[in-house]
Amino acid sequence: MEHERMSAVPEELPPEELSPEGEALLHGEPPRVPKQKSKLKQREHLTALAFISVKYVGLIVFTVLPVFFALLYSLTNYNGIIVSAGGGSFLDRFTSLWNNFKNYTDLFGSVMYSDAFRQAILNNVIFLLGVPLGIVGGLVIAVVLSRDDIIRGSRVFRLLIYVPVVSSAVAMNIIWRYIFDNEYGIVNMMFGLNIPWLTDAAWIKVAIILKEAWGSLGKTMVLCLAALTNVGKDYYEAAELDGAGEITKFLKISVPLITPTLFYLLITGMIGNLQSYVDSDVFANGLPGAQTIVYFIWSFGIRRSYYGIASAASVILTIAILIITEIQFRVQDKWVYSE
Amino acid sequence: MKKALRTATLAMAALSVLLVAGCGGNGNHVTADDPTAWESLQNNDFVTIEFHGRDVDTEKANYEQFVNEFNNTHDNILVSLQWTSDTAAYNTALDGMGDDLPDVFMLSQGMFMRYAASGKIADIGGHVSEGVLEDLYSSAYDIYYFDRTTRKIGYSENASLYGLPKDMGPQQMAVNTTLLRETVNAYNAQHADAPLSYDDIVDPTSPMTFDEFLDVGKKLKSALVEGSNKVVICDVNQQSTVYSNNASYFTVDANGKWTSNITSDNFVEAIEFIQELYKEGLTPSAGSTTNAEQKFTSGQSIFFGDVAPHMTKDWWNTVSFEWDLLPVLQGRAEGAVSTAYVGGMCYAIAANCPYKDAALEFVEYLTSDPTSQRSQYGRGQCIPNLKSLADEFSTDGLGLIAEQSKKTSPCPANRGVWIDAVNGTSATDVVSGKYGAESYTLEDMWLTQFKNWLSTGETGDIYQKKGDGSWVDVRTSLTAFQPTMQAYFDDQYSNLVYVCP
Repeated sequence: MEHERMSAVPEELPPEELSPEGEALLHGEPPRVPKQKSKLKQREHLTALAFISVKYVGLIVFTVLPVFFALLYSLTNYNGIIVSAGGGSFLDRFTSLWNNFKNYTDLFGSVMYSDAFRQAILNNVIFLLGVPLGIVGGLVIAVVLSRDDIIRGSRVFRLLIYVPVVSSAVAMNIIWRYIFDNEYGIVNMMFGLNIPWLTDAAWIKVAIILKEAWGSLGKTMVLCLAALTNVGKDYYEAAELDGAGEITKFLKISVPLITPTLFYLLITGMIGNLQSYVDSDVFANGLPGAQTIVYFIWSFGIRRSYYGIASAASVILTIAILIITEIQFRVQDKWVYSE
Repeated sequence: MKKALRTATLAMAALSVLLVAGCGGNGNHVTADDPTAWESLQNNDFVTIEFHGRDVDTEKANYEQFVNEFNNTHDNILVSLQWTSDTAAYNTALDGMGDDLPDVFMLSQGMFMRYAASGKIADIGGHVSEGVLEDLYSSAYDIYYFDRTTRKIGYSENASLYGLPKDMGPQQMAVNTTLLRETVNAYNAQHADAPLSYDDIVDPTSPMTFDEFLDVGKKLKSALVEGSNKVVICDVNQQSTVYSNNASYFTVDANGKWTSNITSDNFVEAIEFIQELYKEGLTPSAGSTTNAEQKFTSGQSIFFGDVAPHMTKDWWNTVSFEWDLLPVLQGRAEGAVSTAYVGGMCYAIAANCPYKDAALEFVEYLTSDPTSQRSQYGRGQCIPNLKSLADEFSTDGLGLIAEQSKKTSPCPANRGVWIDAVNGTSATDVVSGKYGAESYTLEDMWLTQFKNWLSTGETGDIYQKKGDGSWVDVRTSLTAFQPTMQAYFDDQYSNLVYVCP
């Protein structure tokens, strides 16, 4: 309707007297409608902005600013001891503590930090083994529980296996500590072993990998069950006609078709694993053989106020996670199914 | 979109400015050297003091009572209490406050030096009321002196006093006398020709030496029922073992610079002794979820090498055997004396507190008021800070034993060895005490890393037999860690010079 009205430009008017809208129409261009916002609309927009700003203020205060300050601190000698001295404004004192990239080089070169930091990196890399182990275990459980002809009462098992996911991480770690206790642990007692799970630098890694794998079974199982349900039955029927057995169907049909879910589990599992802290503090009671990078950050940054060095370690961890995730995305074409 | 981005950027910049500005603000505070802060009670009719403390919830209830009592007897001062039960959370929060500290707060010994050196807490030396220091054990407050010229902790001519003691926690050795008696009897039944003497073992005036203890320990171990999980000793305090062998973690030069001392003969010998306890199976593996205190209180260990007064208040209700106290073991080195590790906290006043005189009045009440002190030691929280109360503590002038006789576990008869540790030396000059090494440094990361080193790694793990059946050589291990230890000290020294140029 509006278009009709605007197209009715009087032809007798000379071109120089045409309005910009009329001129545009003459040249076959769509009309430019002047933007007119009512006060009501503006108020609505402001109200909406006010509501959503709560989230963004939170994001800025609790995420963006800390990230910004972590980056800044990582380039300074800022610690709980010297920041209060010297007088002057906060910015004056802050700039006087600037030490460029010394914290980054110290993390790998200073005898104070390098051993602990390298050990933490190594521990983190080893603990990553728990991720594929948990995925494989969870997938196998999901396959078994998805078959009503194999197991009865699968819903009860699903519930029981999922319970750890919604349980307190600290409580779970304390229980696992009792399970792996050198003296009274059920693992040693049941199998007649005498393994120093909680004190030996190598055995505690094995214990943590097993514990981590177990901890991720519930989440993996639920997601894999959902993914398996979505695999079309006709694929299996066709495979059966070709004489495929159960294992072949699982390996050639189920697994390839749920690779997007497995990829998601791998990415989130690795990120979560690289950020683990409770294992080191609660389960391993701070044993150096089990200290992770986040434990290192807590130990130096929070507990001892070495903010500079801890911030540098945080930045390195963030970059490492970004790189690992990017690599995974780049190689996903080679193994992740997409339609 | 551009407009939204610009708005967001501006908002972020504004918030950054606010944050930075917030860090620089000092609220209602005054400058550290403002003399009017010591005359606030003259200049104001009424002042409010903010007091931050930490400990378990039962202790919070005690402090609420102290604060109420103080408030009821002071019309012009109102103290408000903020309490945190978690130690790490409390310390982290305190560090995070920067210069905006509470008026009065508890400060642990491992943090004291950096708070004093960086000027965060007030010099109270010239303002403490007459008579207060005289009745305190000098060891209880000497540790809260700091000399900015020599950069050293401890009393000296130019040192300033930055805190008054909350309590002292000398850690002596506990003995389960019920289990000891049973084990000695069991041993003597099989070795009538060379029996063990129960009385010699529990003599508080004559500490056992390292060698005597190894000898007694092996004999007791042979008489413990196999498979019962009972052990001879749990938790040997590393610091008291080092001190008791006349060794130290570091030396300090005239400028306050620390030099690592962990490869000295006495130090090596002390750590070797701890390793020997593991080698002989006298002490349990560290990998047990049953911690040392639980092991002792459940009656599974004859000795417990590390017991402070505050731990025993819970034992009154939980321990079902008789127990007593002994001085920690005496080393082999020349001049060695049984030296207990002494822990403790102080009450400090913020440097920019505007009501320092009122704050100090409250601190003096907590630290030296006899009623407050009796109330604290009567609950088993600590030994008294006051010399005048030492006798009544040791001889039960307050009816402490009568109170505890209602409980399942009696009060240790030899509790005087706790007093010996803070009183300098005992009557026989063989029992002493020394504050933890972390009290004399800016922070204690060096100690944490040292303990980590000794309990892990191919070259470090001295407490565990290796796969081939051998044990790590202690001297080699300590020599390997020496550069790291020194690096921590050097780093601290550079910070110390920064804050005390």
